[in-house]
Formats: sequence, structure tokens, C-alpha cells
Amino acid sequence: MTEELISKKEVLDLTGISYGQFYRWKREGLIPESWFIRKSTFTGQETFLPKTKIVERIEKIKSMKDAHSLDEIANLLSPEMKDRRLSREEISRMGWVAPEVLAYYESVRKEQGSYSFKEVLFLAVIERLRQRELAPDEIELALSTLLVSDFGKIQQEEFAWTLVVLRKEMPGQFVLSRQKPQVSVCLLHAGDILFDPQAQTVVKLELNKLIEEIKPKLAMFDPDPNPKFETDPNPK
Amino acid sequence: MDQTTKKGSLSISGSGKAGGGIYDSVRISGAGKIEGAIEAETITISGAGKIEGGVKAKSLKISGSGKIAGPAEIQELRISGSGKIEGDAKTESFHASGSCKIEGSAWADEFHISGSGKIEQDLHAKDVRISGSAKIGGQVEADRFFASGAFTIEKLLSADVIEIKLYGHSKAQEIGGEKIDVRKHEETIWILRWIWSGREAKLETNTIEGDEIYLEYTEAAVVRGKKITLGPGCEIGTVEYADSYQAHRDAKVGKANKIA
Repeated sequence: MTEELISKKEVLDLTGISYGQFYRWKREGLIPESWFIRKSTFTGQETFLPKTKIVERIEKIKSMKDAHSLDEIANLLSPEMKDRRLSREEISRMGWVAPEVLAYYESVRKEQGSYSFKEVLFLAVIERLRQRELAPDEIELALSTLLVSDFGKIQQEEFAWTLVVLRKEMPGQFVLSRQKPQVSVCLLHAGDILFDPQAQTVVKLELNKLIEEIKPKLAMFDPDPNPKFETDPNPK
Repeated sequence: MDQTTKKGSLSISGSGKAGGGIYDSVRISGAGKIEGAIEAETITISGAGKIEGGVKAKSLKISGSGKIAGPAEIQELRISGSGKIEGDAKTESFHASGSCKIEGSAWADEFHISGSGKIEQDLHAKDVRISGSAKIGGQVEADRFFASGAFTIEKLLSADVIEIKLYGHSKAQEIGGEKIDVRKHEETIWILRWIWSGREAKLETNTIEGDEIYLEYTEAAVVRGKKITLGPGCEIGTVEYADSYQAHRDAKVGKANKIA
């Protein structure tokens, strides 16, 4: 990955936080250990961080820190929310997943009962794909890709897992057995990949970003004082 | 722990062996060996005790020599003889005044070492107090870190408040926090001062970063911060400060830059 790296000093300059805050947030686990990259410079070994990620993260912590404790923020930012489940009603009441999407997902769903965080992420992905007006078979393709993926790996912060849907037009005479002059492919990848320049990237979804986007939505959704998440009654 | 079920107590005095399991209290005062993991309210080892497995207990006291061949989850850990844990040590209060070795990482709210201690991986604690000597193979993360002995930290030392009284030679790869204060210990009793004078008090590190920094007898490549004051005996390659900077005439500084 060719990401621009900056020093801690530059992070402080760009975000206006103090060393005390920076190190405290690092200790709280708000800044992942894997972002710290040690490099040799003329003054010796120095630590650098990926610019876009760290600035985005610090701004997010700054915006949340007045309303939440550091532990709560750590919980919201951390990729594991494995024990939290939502009921169908809660999901539809949140209003950011279209009823059609929920209905569609239920028609292919293998599990019963409340929704795991993983499934909420899948719903968010389908919702995005629907907004981009993907064909139904492309949505199905993307969902199948997610369903067979190793979710534990997707949640690891050090890899920016991206879901891509590519479309490629196949001129008539080259299409062998299929009716449609077009092929769609769905991939999960991390890092830089160059695709066939003739292929059209229909959708590119960074799953880590999507996870971080939906977490605060889940956490801040609290219309009644009762706990918003129920624990899985029979964990696997 | 469940109060309604009666669990047995185990006591080994002399030389003996017992199996692992769940006990109320465990006492080893001779040469005892427990052949497996145990869970107990209290464990006391005052002879030579060995537990061949992990330990979960409210309190564990080692005043002889104790060895735990596995991870330990103990609310209150007291080591006054020699103790060895061959795994992680998760504790609330950790006090070692003899010698201790943790072959994993250690967690504690209160972490006090007044003898000699070695942690092969990381130390996470709210309060760290080191008054003997300590060696940490990984990083130290604490809210407050006080040292008045000698320490070696192979990775980053990070805490809100770091106060170091230098006795011998201490080392950390990097130091970061809000307030960092390093001073040479001044012995008030003249005979002790004479004994200590032969030893060089020094802190060696690559980088120090903090908002408010006071240093004495510190050797560092880079010191960065808002307010930086250098006392005697400092040898610093580059100082980068935002608000203020002062240096003692006995401080050697390569260059000092004010940064915006």
C-alpha cells in the first residue's frame, strides 16, 4: 500500500491535540498498534503513521469525546461487537435499511431470530449496493461473497478490506455460452489491485469504513432507556 | 465465588503432592507440588511450591519460592520471596518485594516492585511504582509511572505522568506522555551519597515526547514538547519545542528548534 506517512508531530499539528492526549488515546486502544510504523531517520528510529487514517481517527475521537467516555469510544471504534444483537424491529426502526432490503435479506437468510453485527453489516452493504442501482444478480453475487468470507479476518483493522463489483462488457462474438454480453465479478481484497482497464468498477466499498459508520448509528440509536442490544440466548 | 457449595481446603506441609482443582484455601509450607491448574480463594506458598498449571485466585501470597507453570488471574498478588509465573499475570494489585519473573504480560491497577522484577512482555497498569530494579521486555502503559530505581524497558514507556528518580542506569526505547520529570536522586545521608557516587545515574532513550518535560542526566536523540526544561547532565541531539525552552549550562544540546 502506498499510503502517505506522517510523524506524530505532524499529527499533533494537523489535529491540534497534545502529546498527553495522543499517548492516552493510544493506551486506550483508540489508535491501533498496527498503524505505528518505525523507520530510520537521521535522528534515529522514528515512528510514523498513515496520514489519512490517523487524522480521520483523531477527528472522530475529538467529535465523540464530549459525549462519551474513552472506554465507550474504544468500544465504538473497535471492530468487535460480536455479542451484540439487534431485533428485526430495531433494525427497521432505525430507518437506514430499506424495507425491501430487509425483506430480501430475510428471504436468503440462514439464521433465525435477532441479527448479529455481521448481519447488520451485510444489510448495510446491500443497502449501499441498492442505492447504486446494481442488478439483482449482482447484489446476490456480492452477498454470496460476503456470506462465504471469513468475517474475523474482515474485522482486522490492519487490512482495509474492500468489496468491489466489476462489470465487463463482452462483445457478442466472444461470448461463448452465455446469453448476456456482460460479466460481473465480485471480489474482497485488501491492498492495491489493478483491474482490467476495460472492466468497469461498479461499486467499491471499504468495509472497515462502513463498520465504523454503522457502529455509532447502532450505539446512538436509543429511543428507549432499555438496553438496545440483546445478548444471544444461545451463542454458537 | 459460590458461597453455598463447600470446597475443600488443601494444606501441604512437609513434602507432598496434590492434584489440581477447585479449593477454598491452599497452603504450601514445605516442598509441595500441585499437579494441575487450581482455582481457590486464597493460596499461600511459604516453602517451595510449584503449581503445574494456571491459577485463578482472589489472593496469592508467595513468601518462599513459588512457581506457577501457566497463566495467573489473581486479584491480589504478593511476592516477598521469589516468584515465577510462566504466562500472563492478570491482577488488580501486584506487589513484589523479592524477585519475580513474569514470562508473559502483566496487568494491574496497582503495580509495585521494590525488589527485582522481570516481565518478558508488556506491562499495563494504572499506577506503576518501581523502587528496585525492573526489566520489561515489551512496552509499559500506565496512567502514572514512578520509578526510583533502575529500569530497562525494551519498547515504549507511555503514561500521563512519568516521574523518574535516577539511581543507576535506566533505559527505555521511547518515552511519551503528558508530564515527564526525570531527576537525579540526591542522597541525603553522606555515606550513602559516597557509595552511590561511583555509579553513574543516567537515563538513556531514543525519543522523549510530552507536553511538559523536565530532564536531568538524560541521553536522547530527540526531545519534543510544548514546555521543555533541560537540567544538568543532559545530552540531547535535537530539541523541538512549541512554547518554551530552557537549558542548564551543563546540558549538551545539538540543536534546539522552535516549531509552530
